[in-house]
Amino acid sequence: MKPLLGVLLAFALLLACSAVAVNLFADRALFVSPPDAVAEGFIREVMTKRWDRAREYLANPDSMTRAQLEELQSRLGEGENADAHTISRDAARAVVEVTVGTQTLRVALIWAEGWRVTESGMARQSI
Amino acid sequence: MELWRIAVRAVVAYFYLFAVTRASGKSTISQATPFDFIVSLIIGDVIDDALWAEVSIAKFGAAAGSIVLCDLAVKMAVFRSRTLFRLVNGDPRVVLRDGAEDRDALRSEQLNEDDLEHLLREKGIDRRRWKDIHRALMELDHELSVIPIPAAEPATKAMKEQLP
Repeated sequence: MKPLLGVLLAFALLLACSAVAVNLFADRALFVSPPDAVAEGFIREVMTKRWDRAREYLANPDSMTRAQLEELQSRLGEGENADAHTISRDAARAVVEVTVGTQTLRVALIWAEGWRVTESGMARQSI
Repeated sequence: MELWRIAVRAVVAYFYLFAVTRASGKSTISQATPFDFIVSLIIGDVIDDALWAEVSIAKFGAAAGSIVLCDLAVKMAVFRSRTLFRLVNGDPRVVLRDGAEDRDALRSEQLNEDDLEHLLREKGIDRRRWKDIHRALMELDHELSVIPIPAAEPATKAMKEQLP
């Protein structure tokens, strides 16, 4: 029983460290996925047509319909390579630029117990 | 992503895995089973996602910790129950009996006659001396154990004293 408790204790310590970093020191990119990783993950799920998994990245999962996600996917194509970098970030909001092939998308995110994509943040730009 | 963040995540993941491995009472690599290897591979994949910030450190901790906990729970149950031990680990299998190979047993162990020859040669036993073997067993750690026919064992001082 002692080893089981030891593993649980290690996990509890890690959770405590994570909670302290996020809630006390407003960590938004070290113990949690940074906004660029979240935006990149969202775009990758859209490109690979995993709609339900893509919705998990949204601040409000019902804010984008399947048709909207399909429309976004058709614009992006079926590639898998997405490269993201953060344009701006504070404790509550972030804007990330995601490059997919020849296209660049701006993705806005809000902090809601982790970075979440807001549907209104999607704007297409050509480069 | 900034390099220092990757470094800090790696350090946190390292110490967490170090702590759970120590806590779970892992012994030596030589005692590892094939399933331990699979568990290591799974944890290796989980840590990859954590290093590149695809998941939060808490999610990494939950995933890696759960796998270690499951592994530990199975090991503890196996330690307490002989039946469960046999179910999880199987039994040592006799692959050579009184000098003759057991083809069915070899097939179950995915060995052919050449493999058996090779394993026995490593024990210093060539084909001509198979007749001196009472049993050759493939153990649970995939090591071959050899039990010689008593008459074929080298004589000891104790044996000599027993002679009339």
